[in-house]
Amino acid sequence: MITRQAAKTLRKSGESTSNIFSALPLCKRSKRLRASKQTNCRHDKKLDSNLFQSLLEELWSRTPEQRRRSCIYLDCLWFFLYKDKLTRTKVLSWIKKKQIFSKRYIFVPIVCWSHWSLLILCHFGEKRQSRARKPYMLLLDSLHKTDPRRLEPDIRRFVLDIYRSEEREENEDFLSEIPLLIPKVPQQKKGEECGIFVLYFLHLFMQNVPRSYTEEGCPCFVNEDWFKLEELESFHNEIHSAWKSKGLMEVQ
Amino acid sequence: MSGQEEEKKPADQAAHINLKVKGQDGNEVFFRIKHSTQLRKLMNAYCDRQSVDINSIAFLFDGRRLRGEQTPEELEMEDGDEIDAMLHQTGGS
Repeated sequence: MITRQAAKTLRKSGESTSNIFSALPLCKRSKRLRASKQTNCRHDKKLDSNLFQSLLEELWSRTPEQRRRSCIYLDCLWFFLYKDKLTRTKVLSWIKKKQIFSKRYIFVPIVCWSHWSLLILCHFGEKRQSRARKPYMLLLDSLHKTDPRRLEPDIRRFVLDIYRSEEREENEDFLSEIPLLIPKVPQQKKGEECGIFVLYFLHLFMQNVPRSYTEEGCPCFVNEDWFKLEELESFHNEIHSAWKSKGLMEVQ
Repeated sequence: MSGQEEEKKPADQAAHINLKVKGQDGNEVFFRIKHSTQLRKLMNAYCDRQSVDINSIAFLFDGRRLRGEQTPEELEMEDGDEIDAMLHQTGGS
């Protein structure tokens, strides 16, 4: 356990405090904590976009290069910031710099209404007339009772804006016909696990980059029995401790 | 409103850089820091000023997350560059 005093020492040592501090339950952090919600103390398993991003980066760095090659991810705050009119244009310019159309799978973590889900844009870079697989979108959500379809208008607008800012030739009709698939996936049992579900979806997807598809066009391995909750739990422990030990080693 | 280190000795001019931190609400705060100073200093000063915890804010430069130990020099920041200060989001249920 890291005490406040120890945390102070760490801070003085000039290392990344954000990493160290976010490893602590929120209620044990500095008393200066005012802006963030105090109620988080009761839900310290919930992932905020700080810890989520750190774990995502850790996950990415642990994935072999050959599996990453056809994939790319967007920062977990970008979709959220895109939804805000004030930051929308900025987000589109950031995305443009990432040249996402050169990748086959684009992971877009979504945090909206205090809930994490994962959007995967598949085969977006393929030429329209090519015989290769047509573009499709997958929305993976561990809480179907919140109706993931509610995100569809924002997702469609997001995709349309990306195509426009990349100055691609596809027209609006073509884009509105890109299927948005929301397959059944294992569901969370508690109220706080959606963040880790999203990271696990992403991890497993990269491990099994789709080769075969169901009739609906969904990658075969994505279904209700995709994984067991115990597997998710051990993934959670592993990624968390790997990231944590890395953070602490950097301090020494 | 200009931030810290108000004194402007001509000799020091080149060593300093003016940076703008823009909050989610569009509010802007200006800072003047050395090229070689770790950005943690700016981040702490911003959070103190706004009375928010540093862990509740994501600092983005060109969309990329800033880390406290990085310096303007390392990131090739230029005079007048903008940093976005966004509130972290939490997701659970």
